[in-house]
Amino acid sequence: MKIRLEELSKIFGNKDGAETVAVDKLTLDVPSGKLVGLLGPSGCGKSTTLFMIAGLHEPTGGKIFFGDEDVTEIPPEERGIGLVFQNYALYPHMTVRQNISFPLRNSKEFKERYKGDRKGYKAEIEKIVQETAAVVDIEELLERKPAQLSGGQQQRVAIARALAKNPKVLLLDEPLSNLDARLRLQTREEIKRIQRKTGVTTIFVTHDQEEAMSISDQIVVMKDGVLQQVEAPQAMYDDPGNAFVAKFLGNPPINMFDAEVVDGNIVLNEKQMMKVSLDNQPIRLAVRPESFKVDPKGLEATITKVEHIGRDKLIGFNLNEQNVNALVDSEYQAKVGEQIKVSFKEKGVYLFTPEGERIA
Amino acid sequence: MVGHSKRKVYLQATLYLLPALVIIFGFVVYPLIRSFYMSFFTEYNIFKHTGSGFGFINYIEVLQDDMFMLSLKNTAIYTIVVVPVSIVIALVIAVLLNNKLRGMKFFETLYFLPYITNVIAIGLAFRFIFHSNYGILNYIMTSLGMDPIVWLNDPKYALPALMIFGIWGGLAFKIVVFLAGLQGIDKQYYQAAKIDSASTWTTFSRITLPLLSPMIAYITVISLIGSFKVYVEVVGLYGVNPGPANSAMTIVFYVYEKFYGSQEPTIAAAASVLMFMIILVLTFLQLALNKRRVHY
Repeated sequence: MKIRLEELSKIFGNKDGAETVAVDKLTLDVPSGKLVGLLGPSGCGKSTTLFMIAGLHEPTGGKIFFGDEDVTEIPPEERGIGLVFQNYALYPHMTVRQNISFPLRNSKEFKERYKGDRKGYKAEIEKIVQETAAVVDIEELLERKPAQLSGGQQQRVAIARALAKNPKVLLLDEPLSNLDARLRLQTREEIKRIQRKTGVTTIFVTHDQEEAMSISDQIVVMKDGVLQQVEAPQAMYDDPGNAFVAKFLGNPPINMFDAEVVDGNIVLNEKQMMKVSLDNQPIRLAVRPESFKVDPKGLEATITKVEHIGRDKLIGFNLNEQNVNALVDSEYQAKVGEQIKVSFKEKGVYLFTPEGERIA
Repeated sequence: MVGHSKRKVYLQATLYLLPALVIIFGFVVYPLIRSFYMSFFTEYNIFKHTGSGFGFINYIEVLQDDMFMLSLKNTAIYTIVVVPVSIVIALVIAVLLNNKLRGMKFFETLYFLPYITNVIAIGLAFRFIFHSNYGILNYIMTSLGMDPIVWLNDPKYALPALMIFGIWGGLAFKIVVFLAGLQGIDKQYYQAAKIDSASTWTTFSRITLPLLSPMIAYITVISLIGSFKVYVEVVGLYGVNPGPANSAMTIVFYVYEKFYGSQEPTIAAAASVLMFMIILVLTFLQLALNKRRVHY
């Protein structure tokens, strides 16, 4: 099921009559059967967007299409969606089995199909519960109450409950934020595996760029309710549409410098760094941490820190009155206080206007 | 706490608790033990704490007293009707109020007013409501084509009148507790239920009720005990006589009657010990039942 959002807006009014634009004319296509990550800092409107797709928030303007059907006015229970809440919202008084079967028991269509066949009805529900539990690997937990489960297990039960009614669309709100670091890595692989296995169109919300990068087929970056860029993870990393996207993706974050184009050269610290075919203008120069290289003709800097992060080595130095993080080869010998000369590689260097628009 | 001896902390805590403990011991525990002791004497001087005729005679007398049996029957009927009916009504009102109505705070206050108003005063107001000639209840009933009822002077209707009064008087506290309970339920469960296509009734019966069950259990225990001790309502509605021909006689009224009316304090003590036992058994039954039905 492909999803299309057309100029979707949500404005929240508060008591004083002040209005907050949570989502601003968002137009987006989500291809069928893909895993899409809605990424942005908190308050960027990504969860609001998800809840509008779910039907729990009513849009202020715009339309939502599931396939060719306009579902904007259709209540959530008729949209055929599964939703996993940030804190799972498992019914605490029900066992795992009851939690998973709850949406099935509420289905009128299901009841209709097994009218007069109580046995078949029960058997079918049990079959679906078993199958769904198997998909998320919780078969042995069916008799437990949510309070007796770990965070990761609760998460899987929540996904199972969402999947049980065979939804056209699966929505996940910050699915990993309540898990510890190790479990997060494991669960995100799990989500990807489940999505691949079921083939259901899945949208998940996250503020963690690494999470979005690692499992999404496509990333949608939002900021202040406005869509920034839609792209496959690596393509977005390699080719950020604006300064915000460039800064938001990647860890350690990209380094930004105020520079100038003078006579076809980028000038930083009164030194010509590289040639560009641009008119004279002030620019913002962005350099990925991995895009520095040691160069005798480069800029001079003093190393202020050296960190080993696993197999990488991160060195910090001050350049143009700015702290810079650079990833270097772990063989490279560096000491704090040492003088080095650096320049940039071709890849991973971007130019933006002072307002943040991409120029090159 | 680090750096404080356990002894010192304990001493400090005891000091803080002392005022409450003194009051509880002086006015609850001590009288409880005394009246229990007193209930075994046929003659007892409450000033000198001396008595004669130690034994179970008082208990036998109370249990053979038709008036006590009547009071027990009345109290039981009162409890069986008032507790469930008032809980159901309070629950319905609380759920309606919880639906984010405009001016909800106003209604919340309005519904809580009876709780802070003197029961005797409300009783006087109810006397007017129940008045056979000028009462608003009979006015409404006759305008609906029903026959007027002599509420307060007919032995047949004395207890029902008391129950109506009791139900109404108990609503305020229950509504407020239920409202607090309802507001404590995470809104996400309702969103999840919506996504899970639950109907309004399913949402109420499968989500709201179970999640509210600790509150319902609490209210049931409290109001069961409360309605077994019904007394002020009787005085408020009927004054010194518990209804025509003792038709609204309750256990506590019986105890009061025996103590002050017929000057038989040891009989009164025996009756109150019996009431204490009944409430104790009922409460234990309740708690045992709750263990299976309530989701904490």
